[in-house]
Amino acid sequence: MDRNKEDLSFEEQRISELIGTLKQVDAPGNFDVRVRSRIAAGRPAGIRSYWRPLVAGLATAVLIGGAGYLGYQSVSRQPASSMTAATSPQPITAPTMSSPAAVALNAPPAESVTSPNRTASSPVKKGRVDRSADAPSATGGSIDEALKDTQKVGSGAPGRIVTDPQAKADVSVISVLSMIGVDASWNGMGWHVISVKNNSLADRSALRAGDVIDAIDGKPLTNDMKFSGRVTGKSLHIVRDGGPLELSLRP
Amino acid sequence: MPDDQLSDHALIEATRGGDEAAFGQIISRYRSPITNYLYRFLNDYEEAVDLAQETFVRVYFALERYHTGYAFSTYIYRIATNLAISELRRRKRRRLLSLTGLFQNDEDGNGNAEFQPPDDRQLPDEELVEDEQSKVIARAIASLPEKYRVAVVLRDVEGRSYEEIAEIMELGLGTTKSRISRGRGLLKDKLEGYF
Repeated sequence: MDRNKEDLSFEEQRISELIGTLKQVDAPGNFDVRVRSRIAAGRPAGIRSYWRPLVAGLATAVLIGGAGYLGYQSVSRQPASSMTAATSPQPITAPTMSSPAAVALNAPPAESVTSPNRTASSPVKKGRVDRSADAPSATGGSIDEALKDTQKVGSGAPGRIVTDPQAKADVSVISVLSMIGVDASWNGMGWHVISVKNNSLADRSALRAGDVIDAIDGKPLTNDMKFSGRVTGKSLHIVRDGGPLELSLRP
Repeated sequence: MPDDQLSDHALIEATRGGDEAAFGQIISRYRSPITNYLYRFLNDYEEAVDLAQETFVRVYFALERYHTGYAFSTYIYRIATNLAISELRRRKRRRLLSLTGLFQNDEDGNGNAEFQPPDDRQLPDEELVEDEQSKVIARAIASLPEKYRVAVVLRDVEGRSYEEIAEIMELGLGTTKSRISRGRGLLKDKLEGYF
């Protein structure tokens, strides 16, 4: 204890003494076991994570293939004079999709078809992510979402997350993160980044696997919160190596 | 040489080499100081223990990135401090969210099931039953703005040197001393009855 060699006023000395009277508390008896247990619980996550990039890669490939097919279909059915319509922000409509895979890819996210009653009746599960409820996110989100993101972010606008302002349904955090190229899971304190898609918005903004995202634009994230209406995100607040960090999203 | 006589850096090196017992020695060395520090910072024993455990988990998984240019004690206190500050900010946000009712992810539809601010209770552990003066002091510390609280707790509870506190807080020495002094000044106003 280094309490010496301070030239303190009477008041400061007294305060220091008062604080010094506080009883020292000890860690509980099972502290070591619980730390070991948490460390052990952390390892399977690392082992499990090998398949996540694979799934994410496959999903991306399917998504790109589907988007390319739909884009080709749209262009090939347009007269030459209206070619520009193929690049307009209008969502690609169902008649262009003939294969079951394409239909599935263009389906709205699970959140968007989740009724408020279902949401209200779902138990709040801290520290766990209901992957089944976020299935579209695991494939990188719907094509509509992907196109909106690409068009708005890639058009020279400041880096940001943009969701559909007209959307009436809620969008989960995992879907929003998926839109910027992040695969993450809730770890009880924030969204633990499992992987970051190459050259995605998150990648360009220097987000890394292992970071924990706990806020977007200063808005704290929870396990099961939903975004409704327009969401614009210009920065992420993360914890990296135990330290807080603010990342600006870069286009 | 027995583990309990090895330096922190030697124990870290041994852990890196796969000696799990060496990390056990690190835990044994720092578990109570870190728990005590976090307890005085958060005034919540259960949360303090949880964050202290999380501190060791973070240390373990970041061992490869740890540079022995830092004193290990500075390193581990910095991690604990950052976790505690994040926790305080999370609490503050949750309080705010619970007031504004911006989100609708609750179970009963009234908008506040998940965002109730946590209470600042202490565990009803007999070992933690403190006299009234201690409770008043603890509450006064817990009411300080975080930047002063870190400085005062590290100095007056943990007895860390100014230089070490400056490194933990990543501040200059002058700013660190100023914050400790300012923190004590704020406490003086709150603890006037004890002068």
